[in-house]
Amino acid sequence: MAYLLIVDDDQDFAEAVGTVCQAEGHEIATVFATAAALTSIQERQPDAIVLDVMFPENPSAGFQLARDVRRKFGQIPILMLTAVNQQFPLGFSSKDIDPTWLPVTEFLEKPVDFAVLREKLKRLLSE
Amino acid sequence: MTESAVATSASPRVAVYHLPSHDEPAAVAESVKPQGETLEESLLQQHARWFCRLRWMVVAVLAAMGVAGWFPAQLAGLGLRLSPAWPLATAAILAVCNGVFAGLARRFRAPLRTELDAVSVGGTALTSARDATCPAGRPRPRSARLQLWLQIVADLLILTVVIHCLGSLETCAPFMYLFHVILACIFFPPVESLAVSGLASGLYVACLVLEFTGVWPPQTILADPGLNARALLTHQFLVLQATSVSAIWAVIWLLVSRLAQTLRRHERELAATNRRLAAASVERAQHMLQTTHQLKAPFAAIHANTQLLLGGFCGELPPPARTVVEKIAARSAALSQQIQEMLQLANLRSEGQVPPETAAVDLAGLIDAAMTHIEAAARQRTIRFQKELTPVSIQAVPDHLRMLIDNLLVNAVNYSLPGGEVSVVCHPAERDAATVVVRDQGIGIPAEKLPRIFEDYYRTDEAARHNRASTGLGLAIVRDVARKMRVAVQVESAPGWGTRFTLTIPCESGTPRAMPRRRGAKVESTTGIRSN
Repeated sequence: MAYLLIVDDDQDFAEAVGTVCQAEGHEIATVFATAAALTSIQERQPDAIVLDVMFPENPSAGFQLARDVRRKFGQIPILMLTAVNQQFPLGFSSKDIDPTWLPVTEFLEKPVDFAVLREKLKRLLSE
Repeated sequence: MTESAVATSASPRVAVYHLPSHDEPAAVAESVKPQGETLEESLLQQHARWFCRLRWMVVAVLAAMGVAGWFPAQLAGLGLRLSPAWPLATAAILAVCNGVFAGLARRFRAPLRTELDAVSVGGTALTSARDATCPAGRPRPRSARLQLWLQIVADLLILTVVIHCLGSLETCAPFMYLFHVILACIFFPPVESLAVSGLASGLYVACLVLEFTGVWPPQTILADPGLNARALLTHQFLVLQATSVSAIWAVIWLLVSRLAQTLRRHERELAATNRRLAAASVERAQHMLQTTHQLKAPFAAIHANTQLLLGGFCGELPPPARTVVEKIAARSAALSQQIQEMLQLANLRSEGQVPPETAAVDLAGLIDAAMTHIEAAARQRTIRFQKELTPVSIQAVPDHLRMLIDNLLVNAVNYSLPGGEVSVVCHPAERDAATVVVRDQGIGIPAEKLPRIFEDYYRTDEAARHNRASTGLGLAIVRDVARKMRVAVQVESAPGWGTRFTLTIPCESGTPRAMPRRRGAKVESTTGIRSN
């Protein structure tokens, strides 16, 4: 059983992901803004983070949070979810999947297949 | 609370905002304000450096003249007399000056920077690698113009001496001032170029006056000046000469400065247009990013919640409810797919944005991955895959290539009949290309409808009946990607026979290298893919 932090501005989506993770036996916390995410991590460090890319306050807030987490908290596995995938060379360049620039462990495109999500989380937590 | 208390209690501070009657111009795309109609500093720096290089040639010519002065007999045969002293002295002075100018030009060298270097990516401003390694900042304001002025003034002074020595009246040397008049018209605004013309005229007149008054004994390189001998010339002739030469320079200044003004105006308009285009491209990219997210993100929530219902996370659904939820999930997925394809098409057709990077792509590997991706869907329809993939490396935009192959494979599966077979072949072809063939044994396309299958939203009646969920955009995407990648696409089809797409994909990086065949590579299949 792991403690997962879900960071997504879409409350419905975040709660759905949380339901699936809880059904797997994990403990979850859900936050809807990146600032709240940092506070939450400081209070209790999660075993993995499920993180959205775009937030209303900043289209690349997810990227920035991932870098902040790496800098302050070390190697917490991060599964990044995005509705804007790499088939759109808009806004994202090849640097976005460069681990030295964007330190996430995995990308997953929305809409998310929960079977794939479970598999990726299992892999993240086991590594 | 009494009325008087309400009246005296603190009222909320109401903010007021007036909607502007027009959009404020984007900061990046603001129109260029002519600043004295000068070339940009960076362009003037280039000219200053070029001028220095040209001056070395003049130094060489003067030095050669000096050397020639050591052969008076040969020069006399040409009707010339030349002392080596003055050419060598002026060459030396000019060389020293040019060394200083070249040093100044190198010191204030600046990188070229365009608005595209500051494209914002997902809200995060990027700077190009070039900016990261170049010295920071532009040259000091007006330094390039000052350098050019220094060079021109020094040149004119030295040129006056050279003209005096060559013969200010005896030869056509005074017309060498025109070089600087014309260059000044190109470098500077009209007022400053007129000043250069005036300076040239003034120096020439001063030279004539000094020679006429005997302060500067006149010289010439002509052994026999003939009718131009000084003793024969009156002061009226000198005035006429000075006036006519100055008038010619003035006319040339007028003509060239007008031409240069027109050219500079066109350059400024072009630069402003480029800036607006760059700003529009950035704005469009950001708009598309937001639009994509706003359109696709809600489907993520719908899809996630239907999965919760269908996955039993909210308890077992009664069959009628399950049916309804399945319909919601199916329509939501179809709409999400349609939006994705529409956005892909819009992105492919967008002109003016920065083209994506190409990379070396293992074509067979990409096709294999695409087939694996739709294997589940194929298995559901009991469709077998057969593949014969020879590893081939090509230079392409990976995402575009993936879109091309994905759409062809999805079409092949969607329009196959249950229990049918989809075969995919990939191998190097002649003339630096690779061939990909995708063949299905499905419903096929009538001949008269074949030319239309690549149109947006077009579906044959047969296709619409066979696959209601189809958007009609898959082959439009194939068409756009094929055009971008210069891929030749051939379609063969007949109702009841199926359809075969043959792609000839150019390998941009020379001969397609058939990568070493992996041990055991053969015609493969799963439940799809059958081994031979």
